[in-house]
Amino acid sequence: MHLVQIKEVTKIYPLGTTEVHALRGINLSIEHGAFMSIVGPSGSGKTTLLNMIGCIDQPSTGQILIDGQDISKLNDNQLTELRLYTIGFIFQSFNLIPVLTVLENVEFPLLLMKNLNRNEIRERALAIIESVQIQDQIAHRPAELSGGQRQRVAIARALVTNPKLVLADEPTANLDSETGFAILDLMKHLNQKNKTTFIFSTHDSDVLTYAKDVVKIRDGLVVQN
Amino acid sequence: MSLIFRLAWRNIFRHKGKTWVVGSILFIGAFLMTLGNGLISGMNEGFQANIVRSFTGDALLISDQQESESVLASMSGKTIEAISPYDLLQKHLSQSDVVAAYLPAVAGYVWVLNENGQPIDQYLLGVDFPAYQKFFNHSLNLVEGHFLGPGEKGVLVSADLREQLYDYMGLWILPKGQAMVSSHLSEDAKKDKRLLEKREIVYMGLSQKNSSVDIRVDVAGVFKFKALNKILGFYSILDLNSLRECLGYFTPESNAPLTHAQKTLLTASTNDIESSFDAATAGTSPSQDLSSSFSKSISALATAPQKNKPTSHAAGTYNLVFVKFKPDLSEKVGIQRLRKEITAAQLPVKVVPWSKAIGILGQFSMIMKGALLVVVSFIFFVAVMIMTNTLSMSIMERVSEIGMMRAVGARKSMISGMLLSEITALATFFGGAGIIAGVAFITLFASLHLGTSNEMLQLFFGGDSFQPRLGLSDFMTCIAQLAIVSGVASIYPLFVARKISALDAIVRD
Repeated sequence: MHLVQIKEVTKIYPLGTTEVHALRGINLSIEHGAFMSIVGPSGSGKTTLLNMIGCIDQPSTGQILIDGQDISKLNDNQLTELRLYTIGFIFQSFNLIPVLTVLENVEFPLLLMKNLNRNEIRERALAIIESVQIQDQIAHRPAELSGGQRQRVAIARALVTNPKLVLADEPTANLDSETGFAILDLMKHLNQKNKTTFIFSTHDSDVLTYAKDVVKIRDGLVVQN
Repeated sequence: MSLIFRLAWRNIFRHKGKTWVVGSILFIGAFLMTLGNGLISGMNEGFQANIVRSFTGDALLISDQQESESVLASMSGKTIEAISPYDLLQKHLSQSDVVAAYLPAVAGYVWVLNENGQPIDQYLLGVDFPAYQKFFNHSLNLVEGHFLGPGEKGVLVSADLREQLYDYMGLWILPKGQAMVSSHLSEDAKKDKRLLEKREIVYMGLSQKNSSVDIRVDVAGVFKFKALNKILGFYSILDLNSLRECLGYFTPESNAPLTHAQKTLLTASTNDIESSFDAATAGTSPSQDLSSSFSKSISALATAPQKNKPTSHAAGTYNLVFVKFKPDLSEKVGIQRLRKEITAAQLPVKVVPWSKAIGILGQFSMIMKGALLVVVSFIFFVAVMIMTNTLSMSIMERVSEIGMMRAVGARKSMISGMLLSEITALATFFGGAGIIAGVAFITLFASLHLGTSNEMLQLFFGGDSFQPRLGLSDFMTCIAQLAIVSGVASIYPLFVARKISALDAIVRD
């Protein structure tokens, strides 16, 4: 069974009296353990597609199955649970909680989970922090970190729940190229090590060299898979 | 749970500006609400204590035949049923385990007759004045003239009523033998170049049998209540027997033993009386004795000097009895126990709580309370509006953060919990400080015993001194109000926060 199945998905945004067709009928299947890049120019629908896969947005028509579950049939709490247990997010702007330390930010999703004790949470958080090599900054708050360090924290937070799928929307866009490649190296390493599925969007052709699979979209349609 | 509190606590320190804005509003709001509650409570208690101390006592006894219980401020003008027999009641009260003191009285509406125009109705209280002063802790201030002595006939007119009488009748009431005091004149009376003075008043009372009896009494003095005169100064005080006579009640004189001549006259038949007149005219007298004694008794009655002789209370009629309970008894317990005693003794009276006896006057306290509550509610409303706006702005600035929390798996309930924790922490700290400051202010003001003779201020003070107070229930009310303000102010911001989705965080990026 595919981890992600997208069938004839469209997304239309109303814009005043007109409509913007962000996705025009996407069909896509993503295997477990994939390291996939979605590429395309700005406004092509990359972020919209990632939002659909991440259960953050709902399609106007069509069907999306995540790990066999049709997301259109889930209520808000069920979608939240799905995001918590199955999907990890890495945002372009890192989106860490500013009042929490590195360690607390990484622990945050674990604290939302049920049936995890305090020790287990701490052990898992420290282990993933070590794997992204920011163990020296665990007591720092996001404002005290560099862009690369913040993104590593974001990756650690996305992976700490052992999700089946990690979605990263232009994870290197706000980083210098060296740090960006380091982050991609790290993601690829974790993909190979944990068999976690990574889907990331980019419009940087250099980033494509890291991807095992590339999906190119333009004007809301898949033009190359 | 600890995560929610940690987030809330740190967010409070992170958004210092907004924390201070919301905190200041909470502080000022809680402070003002506490002061308001202290004022309301102090006013209410002062009002009640002053009324009980100087106007009603703890309870009143009235005839069980009396329909309306608001006997002290009745608007009906209907005669109050007499307590009969009073002697038994007096005996019981003097032996009661509940009653510390009692004062029998007569009360009722009369007309003040005016040769220059329309009569005006007035409420009169007939009492043994020295006993009244003792019972009500010398609650009256003498403005002019003198207070009534034991058994003295006369009327003490309330200073406010004197002004009313002038407004209606154009007559300025003065005590007998008292020169005009121009500084006591009302503003209108000062402008009156042909001011008419009056030192006696003619009252017309309606008796229980619906016949009218006029009495003419000298004005002994003019008085004011030491506290709350604006509310209580609606009645004048008359000597007992004059009012009994005016209202057609039984007086001690009615009970005086009849002379032989009076008895003969009362027991004589109509024919005997007529024939005695005929015989007296003709000079021959089969009933000469009767005729002679009748003539003598008539002339004796006509020429008898009016003596201010002391009268026994028990010998006349009363229509109400003011009662003070023993100090260790609350009003509620006192009433319950007195009712039991009265039922057991089968006395024909009923116990009326003072608050019911003053009828419409009791509503004044409610009106003042209502006025202050409006002010407090306004503070409430303003505080809620400012807090709602500030909190909503704070939420809008945190869309990315809240949206991201939703994206990584935070439920709406977790977001609500975090915001509620922030508001609760702010309310507890700043609102609590406001309440403490309010309590400190109230304690300070109460200890200063600020007094006033200004009658309007007395209405707000509930007496002649400013005694705000905050009991446990008022304190709990302050906390409840703070909780309500915080709760109401957080409804809209919570609604906004719960609507923030993970998508909003991404769109914001």
